[in-house]
Amino acid sequence: MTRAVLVVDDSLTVRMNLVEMLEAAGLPVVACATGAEAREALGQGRFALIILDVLLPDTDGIELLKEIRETRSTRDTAVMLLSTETEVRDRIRGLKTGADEYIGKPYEPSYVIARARELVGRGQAVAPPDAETVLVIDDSITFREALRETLEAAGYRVVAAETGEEGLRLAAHERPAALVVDGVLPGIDGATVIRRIRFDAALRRTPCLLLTASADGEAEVRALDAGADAFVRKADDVTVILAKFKAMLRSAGAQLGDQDTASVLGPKKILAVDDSETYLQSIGDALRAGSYDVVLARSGEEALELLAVQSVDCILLDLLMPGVGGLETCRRLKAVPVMRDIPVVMLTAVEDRETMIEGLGAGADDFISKSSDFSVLHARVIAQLRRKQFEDENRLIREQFLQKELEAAEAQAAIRLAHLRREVAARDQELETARAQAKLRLALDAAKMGEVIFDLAGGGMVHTPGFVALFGYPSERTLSPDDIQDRYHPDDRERIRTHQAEVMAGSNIRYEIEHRVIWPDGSMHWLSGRGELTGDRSGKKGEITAVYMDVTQRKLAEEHQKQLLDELNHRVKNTLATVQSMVFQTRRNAQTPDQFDSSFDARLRALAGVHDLLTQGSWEGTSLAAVISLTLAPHIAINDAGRKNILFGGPPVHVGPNAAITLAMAFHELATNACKYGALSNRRGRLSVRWAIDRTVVPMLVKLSWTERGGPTVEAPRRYGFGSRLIEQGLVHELGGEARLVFKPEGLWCQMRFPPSAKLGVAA
Amino acid sequence: MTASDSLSGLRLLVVEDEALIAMMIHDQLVNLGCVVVGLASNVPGGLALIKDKGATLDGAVLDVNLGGEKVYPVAEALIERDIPFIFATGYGRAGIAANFSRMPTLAKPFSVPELEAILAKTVLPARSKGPTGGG
Repeated sequence: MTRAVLVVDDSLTVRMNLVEMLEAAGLPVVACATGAEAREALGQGRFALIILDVLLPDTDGIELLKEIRETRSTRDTAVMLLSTETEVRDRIRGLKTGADEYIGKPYEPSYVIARARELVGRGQAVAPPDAETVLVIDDSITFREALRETLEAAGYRVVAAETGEEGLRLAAHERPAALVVDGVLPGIDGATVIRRIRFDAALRRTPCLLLTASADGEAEVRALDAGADAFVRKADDVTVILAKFKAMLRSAGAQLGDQDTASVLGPKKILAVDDSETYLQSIGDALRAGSYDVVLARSGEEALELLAVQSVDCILLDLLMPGVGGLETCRRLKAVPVMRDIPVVMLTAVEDRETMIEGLGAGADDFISKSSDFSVLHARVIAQLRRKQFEDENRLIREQFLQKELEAAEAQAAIRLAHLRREVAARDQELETARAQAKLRLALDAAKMGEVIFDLAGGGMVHTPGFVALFGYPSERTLSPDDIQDRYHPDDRERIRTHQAEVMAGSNIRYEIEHRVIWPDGSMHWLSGRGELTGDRSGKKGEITAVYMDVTQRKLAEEHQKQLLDELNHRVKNTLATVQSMVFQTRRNAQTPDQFDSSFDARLRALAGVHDLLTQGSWEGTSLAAVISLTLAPHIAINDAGRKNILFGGPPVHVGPNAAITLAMAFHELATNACKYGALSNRRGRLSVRWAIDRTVVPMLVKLSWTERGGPTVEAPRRYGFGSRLIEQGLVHELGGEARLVFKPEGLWCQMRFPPSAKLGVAA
Repeated sequence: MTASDSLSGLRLLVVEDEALIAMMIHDQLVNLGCVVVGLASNVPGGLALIKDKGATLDGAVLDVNLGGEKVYPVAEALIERDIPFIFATGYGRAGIAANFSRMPTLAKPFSVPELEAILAKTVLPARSKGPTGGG
């Protein structure tokens, strides 16, 4: 919906004129004659533009403008002031209060309408130009035709070129709505084509899509560098290319709208500065006839003051004026950046060379004699306006290029930054890896482990110094596979070979093996290895990474433990067999169950006692004195004669575990007999157990005598009992030598003679 | 008992270092009707007995571990003379060297019927066909 233009002017002529022209231009109009009417209209609705006379019968136009700017609903509405007051001061006041345009009366109607149209259309989007012709430049006919088919299916007209040169000629002729160009072309390349398009005033706004080989950041930078509006990977599907192409046209259309506001055909405002009122009025009349709006200033100061609030398209400046002269005014306004580009035409009465040079030096763009015809002046002004237009466009191009360059530089910087970050990350990773490896190495060294990597294809290997040490080589040595194989224990070689073959064949990815090695110094060591096949699973190209450690200590400990267990098992079984034998023998000799019970109980205790003794000595044997003491100590007492009933002693004799058991059982039988029938059965008897080593005979003998005295009169037993048999047969069987029991009436006497052996040791 | 009858008169060698156990084996064999031709407690003793009385031996009962030394030289001497024997050991079969592990083995402690059965199986067949049999 188009909003109306509000015209406020007390002159009926002006109102009628403006209403007629605005309506003819398609703009609806509401006209008021007074400030009160205007306020009422403004209270009722919104307007696209307010054209306001400064001198109203009931109101000051500037005051009304102030109200408009202070009212929320009208704050942003464009306002064009009309005034017969040509005083620059009034103009400045109006513009400073917030007018968008200040036009002097008598106004040039076409200028007013053109400006009105501009102010009404402010912010409204301009329809994009017909986007039907697309120029495709590609040397591949296949690709050209594929693209043509896709674009034509999407409703475009396609013209195609094979080379960049041909493409540029076609572009000039066809003025395509858009251009698709391959980056790689015979002759000039795609980037150059786009660059040339950008340098051509007529074509520079044509959206360009560059086809690149890859879609990485570098390709994007190159495309932006060349001025492309979009780029797409050539390998992408044509539908992707089409989608990108459409997106490019959409954004290009939006840009075009903004750029077109500065059209050559737009209304122009010209400032004339001269101290001669007559001359000013003449210029005003002449230029208004040429559809320009003319602003008049009577001095350099006035001109500069005005230019601070009012932008103009061209300035006509008298050279000779009181106060700030034309040259100084020119210099000052050229020193202000926003004014620098406004063309300045110097007006001079004198036309000498020096003045001209001086004027041009001050920044003037042209010189014209006051005596010239106004048509010449008009022509010169038009020339200056065109030049400015051209410069504006050039500046726009430059700015766009700078912008693109900036964007490209930013993109490049971003890519470099990303590269740098990646590099830093990679280095950090390397460092981290190195640190981890160092840690691993330390751990391996601390654990006396070695690491090795076998390259299966090359047959080579790399290893840590710790690995070398495992084979008994000096750690600084570098090993070959042969060095390792040489060290394999002969009995383990076959097993290692089989194992390796399995891993190589890929049937096992991981392997664990324990085998022996013989060090160069001849010592045997156990190694434990754990490895993994990496790379080619077939085993022909991969490598085996393995960690080895010396487990000799563990193996020895394991062996020792196994021996201990076997030994313990054996000992328990033998002990059970011994107990079994005791049961067997006791039963044979016992006359009553009670007798069996007491005898067996005593024998079992004696056996338990000697077991304790042997356990104290780790079952490595004990001394003869300890065995005898074990048996006799419980019976020691003071007899009636005030003396000890038992005396025993002799030199050190070592007794093995089995012999200790047999001896202990034999002494148990002797002591039991002594307690029942012999020297320990009353309070007068004495028992003496003495032993010595007879080194005079070969082999030497350990001689022991058990002598009882003072007991009841001895009678030889009627039966050959267990004790007698154990001593005379058992002991002799086990220790060799001889043992004899003599039942003398005054006391039992037992004599033993054993040769030293593994079971019975004496000091040499 | 028929088994005892059949073992009757078998002439056996016993190698066992521990006196109490040797006495029991001796008594058990005698009870079974066997004749204990020799009782040795170590390897030299065993070898000497084989040398002396090998020609009249029907078989042997061997303890494996004789106070530290192994009975194997005695076993080899018996194999050489084709004299059957059994091992009697607290280690059981696992404690016997690999080359003898197939020999009949009695695990200590063993019972009289076990001893009788293994002798009947091992020693008797050899005697019935051996040249020295029939004693």
